[in-house]
Amino acid sequence: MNLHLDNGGEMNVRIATTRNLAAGLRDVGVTLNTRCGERGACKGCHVEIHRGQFRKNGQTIHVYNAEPCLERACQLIPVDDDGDIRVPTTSLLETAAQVDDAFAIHPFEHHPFIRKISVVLPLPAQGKGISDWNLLDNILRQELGDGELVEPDRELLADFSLLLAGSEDRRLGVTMEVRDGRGTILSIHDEAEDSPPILGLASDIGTTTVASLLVDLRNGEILDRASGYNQQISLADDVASRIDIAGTPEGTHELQRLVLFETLNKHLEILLKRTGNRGGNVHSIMLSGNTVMSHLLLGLSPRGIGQLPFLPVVRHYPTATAGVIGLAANRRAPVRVVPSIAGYVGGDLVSDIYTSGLLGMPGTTLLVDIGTNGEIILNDDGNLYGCATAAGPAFEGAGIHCGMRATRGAIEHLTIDADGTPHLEVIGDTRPLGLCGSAIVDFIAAAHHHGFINDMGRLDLDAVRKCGRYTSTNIATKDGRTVHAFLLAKAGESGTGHGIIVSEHDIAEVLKAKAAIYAGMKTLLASRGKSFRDVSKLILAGGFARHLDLISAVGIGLLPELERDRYLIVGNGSLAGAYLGLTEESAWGSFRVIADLPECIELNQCDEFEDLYVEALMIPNLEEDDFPGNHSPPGRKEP
Amino acid sequence: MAVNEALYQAVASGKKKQVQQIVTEAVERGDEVLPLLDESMIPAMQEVGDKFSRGDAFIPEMLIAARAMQAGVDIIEPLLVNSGHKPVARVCIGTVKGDLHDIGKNLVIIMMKSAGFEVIDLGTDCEVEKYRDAVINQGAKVVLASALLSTTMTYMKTLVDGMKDLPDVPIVLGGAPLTQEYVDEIGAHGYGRDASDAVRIVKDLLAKTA
Ligand code: B12
Repeated sequence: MNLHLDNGGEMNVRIATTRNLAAGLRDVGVTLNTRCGERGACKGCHVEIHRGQFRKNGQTIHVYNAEPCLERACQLIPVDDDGDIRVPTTSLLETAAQVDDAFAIHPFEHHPFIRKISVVLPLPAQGKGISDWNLLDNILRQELGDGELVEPDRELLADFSLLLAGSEDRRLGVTMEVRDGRGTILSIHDEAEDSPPILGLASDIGTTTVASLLVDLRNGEILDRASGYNQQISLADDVASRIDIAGTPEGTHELQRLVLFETLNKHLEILLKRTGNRGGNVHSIMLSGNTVMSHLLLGLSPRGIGQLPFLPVVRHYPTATAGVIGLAANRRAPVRVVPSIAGYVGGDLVSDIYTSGLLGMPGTTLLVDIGTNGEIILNDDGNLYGCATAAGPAFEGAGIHCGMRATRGAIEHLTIDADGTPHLEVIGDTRPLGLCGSAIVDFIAAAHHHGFINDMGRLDLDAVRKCGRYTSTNIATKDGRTVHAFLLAKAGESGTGHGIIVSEHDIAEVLKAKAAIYAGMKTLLASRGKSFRDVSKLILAGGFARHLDLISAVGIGLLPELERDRYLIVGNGSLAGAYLGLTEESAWGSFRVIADLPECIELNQCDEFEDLYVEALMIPNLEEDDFPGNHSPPGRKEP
Repeated sequence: MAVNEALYQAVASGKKKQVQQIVTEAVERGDEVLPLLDESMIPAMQEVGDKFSRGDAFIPEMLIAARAMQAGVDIIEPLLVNSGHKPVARVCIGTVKGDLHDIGKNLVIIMMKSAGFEVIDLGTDCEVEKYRDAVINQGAKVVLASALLSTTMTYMKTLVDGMKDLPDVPIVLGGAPLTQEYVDEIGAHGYGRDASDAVRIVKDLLAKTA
């Protein structure tokens, strides 16, 4: 089978005739985006068949000397090994995810939880009623200032006994985690040996990507970082579909396996190898993510979150140990998961709240995570309110004809001249393969500004034709209808051999997403009798916000027109929260408190939401209140 | 009375406040209200709907126009009861159990009303019983149901199965995650990809059963 890959390269490979084409391609290292779990329900694995013979739904299709056709690879079974296939870049599940793991945190004092103690066990004159463990226990309790010591398990006692057996002078090193005066022994080791490093792992578990930090727990230093896709994506790419899959024990188990073994253990392996450490040195693990991810990490089925009234199984998760759930760290290392606020407002938001310092801010402040779920938290003079606004994945480039994630080849930013000439900023400085969310926002803002798009998101066809940028497409629509489009890069200028376009359909998708976020914020404010005018700080959390151009975001009406200094961009607050949970003594307790603070409202029960949503579908908005156009523009994001 | 050009334009371009103002003034003057609906607002909404079907209008325009029209209908509807307005047929619509997304459903309602149907709005989160009640006790001739979540979409099968003993009442389904294949598979009678489609399909089905 001949493969032609859009991102460069021809391959001749042997493809299995016993399995579907998507599975066959995966075997030869070409992994397609089978986000619906190979059910034929999405177009993630579309390939262009130029020649070949396949079985599809029990029928055979032949393509010979005919027009090439687009097909879902997961629905085709090759009849033989002969054929020509083009694989569009947009169908590839990129293996190198670009993950935003940058964050800003307020200065903190480092109070490590981990203590290493050297002990010499006394040898009493007579041994009536006492044991070696009693002796150690006494010493450690004194060390804890009369605190409590967690009972040892058999494995720990075995280590202890063997050390004593081999030691002449009964000298031992004990590594202990101390939280709230309660001590847990992590390891007992030979005191004479070089003190082993005491490490921790902090991870942000996103639905799409996972970012991890390896931290030296003695001083809080970040030793190294790793990131990549959450491997659950090979089964399904949105939260709703993962909830579906987790409806059975096998499904839940498989999703747990994918995130722990195929994702986190891979990160651990890389981090440990690069820093020259062993898994046994990792003594504490802190994970932060949305409620569905938090459930799956611990093997809890999130099924209830998928249906009214969206109930999670628990919000405060039990602390597991690495050995029990199978993480490649010290088997006694506690694995903590940041508690959740509600089914659709998770621990990632708890982390955002904590790291951004939202709690301490006076007046009316708002925190929004611009992503698929669009979680929003309002701090109204110390009282917290929350909601989730289901924007959908348009900002991640999904559902957009030339949309892609922010990886190499993606147009990240763009401007358009008054004569329609675009200027593209491409990640990796190569020919463009597609656009990521931030560029689509730029496009709509700039094209609207110059009159190529009207307030309803429709192209001014005359204006677009006049500057030679008109084209049309029928690929992006569900029913094959033709839609008008703006040509950003001609076939000859792109890296795919096809034009890079933005269609009216794409614009409508982005408008729906931005309207949901904007109306969500406005409804939450209105529920407390407030408006954007009262907001003294608007905090933008999440990776997408760091790439977003604020002028463009205001231009399309995703964010209100406020002075630049009222915006605060915190970056990946979820990862920052996991990091602080490992290193800052007050963090864990604060997480538990924060998770119980917000009062969550259901947007669909707010009468004004629908009105505000419809108004926000226009560019920038049907109501001009929040877009008077007289403030100094918010300004580009800082580098 | 001929087309009220200002009202037509106000609906077509989604100017809610203007619509309210024009309709209120007309009502206060004692004008007949039915022509306002039949000759100005409905044709305006139908034009937007037709544009939508041709791909010349998108969801935002539809919703903004529908909202403007709804504002006018809210004023006129109570007055219609006494004016001898005769609907084409009575239908019911609701979002299925577990689903609270009703923006699409409300758009379907406006388009159905624009086409002269009387619509019983069952609201959101409807169990089978609610649809059955609308048919058995309120005389709905067609059942329409909407779902926006892949998790609630499966309830449509429950709905179809629960209506099996009422074979004369067609069931028409819609909402973003649905496909014609799915609708055929669970044995419903029609699938509408958008609000104008809903009207066409309901008309077709009624013509068949008549
Ligand atoms: C607005 C919105 C909300 C609002 C709903 C407000 C309301 N009163 O309706 C709020 C914020 C409350 C909300 C909540 C949730 N949402 Co929501 N929401 C959306 C959003 C942004 C737009 C939906 C919409 O109104 N579209 C516009 C209308 C006009 O289109 P439409 O409904 O498809 O209708 C058209 C056609 O389908 C058709 N049609 C519709 N019904 C019918 C019926 C018939 C008979 C016919 C013939 C035709 C027809 O005609 C219409 C006009 O053409 C979408 C994402 C998106 N960008 O689309 C997510 C989305 C639908 N929501 C989603 C989710 C997950 C949720 C929540 C579970 C999560 C949360 N964060 O809380 C909750 C669930 C609430 C519940 N139980 O239903 C997901 C669904 C994913 C999936 N695969 O199932 C989406 C796709 C976003 C995403 N990808 O995450 N949501």
